[in-house]
Amino acid sequence: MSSKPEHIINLEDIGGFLQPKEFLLDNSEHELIKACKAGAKVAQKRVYELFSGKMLNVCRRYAKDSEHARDLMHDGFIKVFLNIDKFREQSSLETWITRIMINNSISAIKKDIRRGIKVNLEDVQIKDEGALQDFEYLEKQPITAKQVFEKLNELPLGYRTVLSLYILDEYTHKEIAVQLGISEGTSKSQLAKAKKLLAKILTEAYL
Amino acid sequence: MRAKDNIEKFLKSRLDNLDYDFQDDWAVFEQKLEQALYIRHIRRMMWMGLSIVFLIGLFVGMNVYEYYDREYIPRSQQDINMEAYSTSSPAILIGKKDEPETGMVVRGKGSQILTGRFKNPEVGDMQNSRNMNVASASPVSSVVHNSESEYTSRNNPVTPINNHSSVPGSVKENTDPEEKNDGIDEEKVSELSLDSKVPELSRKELGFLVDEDIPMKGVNVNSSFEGQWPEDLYTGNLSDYTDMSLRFPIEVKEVKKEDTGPYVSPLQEINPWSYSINVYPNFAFRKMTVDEEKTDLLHRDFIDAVQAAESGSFSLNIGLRISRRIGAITFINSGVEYITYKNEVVYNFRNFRDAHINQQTGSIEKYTLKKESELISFSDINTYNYLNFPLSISYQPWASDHIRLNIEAGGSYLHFMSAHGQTLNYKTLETIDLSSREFKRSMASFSFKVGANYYVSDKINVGFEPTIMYFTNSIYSEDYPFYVIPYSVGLNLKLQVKLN
Repeated sequence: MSSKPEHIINLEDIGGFLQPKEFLLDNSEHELIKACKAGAKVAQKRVYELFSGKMLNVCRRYAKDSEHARDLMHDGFIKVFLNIDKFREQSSLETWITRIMINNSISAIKKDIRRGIKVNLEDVQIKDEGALQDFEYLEKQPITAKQVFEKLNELPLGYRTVLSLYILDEYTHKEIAVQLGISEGTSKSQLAKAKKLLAKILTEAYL
Repeated sequence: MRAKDNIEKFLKSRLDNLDYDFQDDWAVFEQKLEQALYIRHIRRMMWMGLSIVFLIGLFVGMNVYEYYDREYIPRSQQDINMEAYSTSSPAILIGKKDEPETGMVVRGKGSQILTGRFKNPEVGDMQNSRNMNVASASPVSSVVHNSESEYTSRNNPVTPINNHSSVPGSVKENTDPEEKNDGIDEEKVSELSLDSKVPELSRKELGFLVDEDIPMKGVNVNSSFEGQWPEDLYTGNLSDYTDMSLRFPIEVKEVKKEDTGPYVSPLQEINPWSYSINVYPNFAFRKMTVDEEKTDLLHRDFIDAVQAAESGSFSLNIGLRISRRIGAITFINSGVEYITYKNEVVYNFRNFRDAHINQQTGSIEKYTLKKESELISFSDINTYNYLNFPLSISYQPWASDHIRLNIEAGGSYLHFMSAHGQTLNYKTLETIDLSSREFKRSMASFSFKVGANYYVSDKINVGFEPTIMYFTNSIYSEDYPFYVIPYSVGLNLKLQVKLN
């Protein structure tokens, strides 16, 4: 095993070490999973430290705000550790955790999602549909991922959910319809309007 | 369409590479996780409890059903043991002139007097008789013929009548046309006439009841005949009684119902002292936390691993139980038990630093980083052996023929004997043998349990007892860096083998 870069290790950080992801994932994911199944707290902590940041971003896409996203992320990790025994390691741990986070987030907002989408559809007026034509120009602008993410989170919850599920999490319209309890047609129309609105927001912000 | 594809690619390309911040709220999340684990544990215990309650209810229901599925036997009648219809036992035949049925009065044990009807004059098997009037009688109580209650005696080893026996009394023919097919052979009935078997005395002289002597059903007869009843019949000492001539008159007095007190199951220990061998596995859940004041006695890389490793356990108790009855359903219990307590320790963590230990104080002063971290993966079964001396009081508020509920509270003294297995040194993380660790020798506990015992056979019971225990101390010495929660919740599954 290669030695760790020392500048990453902080001896004063008693609560836990900051570890390079590659270090802990390199040939040790199976051991990590095994230790989590045995209930080892240190393994659970490692898993949390490895994936909590990314999962927070996943949950933020489906949450009302940052606090709500953190709650969803915590609930998701609780489900991960309570059900780790059922994980058969047919996919990577990250993929499995991501799927749990998405399902948990959608379950949490499913009751209001239909109403939210309808409200959003009625309230949101896309005045200038010409914005899409400037999109190629927008692509060339030095807009960071974080900026795009922030603008994504400005979308209404319903639009954001459909767009995230379809584009980022690669759900089909059929799967989205099942998850959200809407029709495929509604999913497609929501996606189209979400993309238009996002393009408009980005254009107004950065062009 | 092209624009739409572009935005999809744009979003994917940007957001797939989105950086994320390290989240340092593990402590907050850990509390939520522990709460969720605790709730899951409670939920599982509740389901287990509900399942057990359901099973116990099923057993009780089956037993109640069986109990009431047969003919009802009043408690005061349960000791009936009829010794009738033999030459050595007293048997009395009474007859009434116009009575379509022949009657029989038989004296049984426990001062029971039963009347019955012949079906087969040769056999006169009361066991087949469907109309039996049972009443309790004693030298000071009386017989009330109550035709409303029909009982059969449960413990009634009736021996068939021998029609050659000298059974006094008259047998009347059954003249009721509706009952002509009740198996009574008129000819044979006449053969049973006592006139051919008893001395030549008048019936009255023989002391037989005649019409006016036989009490009507449900009617109390004055006790003017008191004293004329042969004394032996009162006392039950009839072994030498051969002269069946004097049977009458029958005293008729009001039956007094005895206060039976709490129901004592026939399975209850009869002897004041009872001894049994008990074997029961016990599943306990007990929690440990890091003692905040002793963190310098515990390697930091080891804290989380050892907390997760030592929370659940299994023990097997085998011992002699001595019980002394102090009330109808109350017992005081003691004895001695050998307890084998096992828990599996599983450690799987990375050791990043070496601890430097102050040789004088034994505490960890500082850490230095290892050049390469070491994965420590360790598992073993740790066994602790105790001798337990319990003392408790048990109360059994409810019992049927198969189930007894038991409420027990008490305490015990535990003497630690030995420990086996391997574990890790809390400071150096080296593998050590448990026997090299120092332990305290004595521990005390208080317990409360509510459970049920099920009767399997006269000598064997099985039991189920959820138990709560409180320990006054642990066996660990002063430098043990963990605080052991003194309460434990467990489940005993008991096998009891009675010795007397």
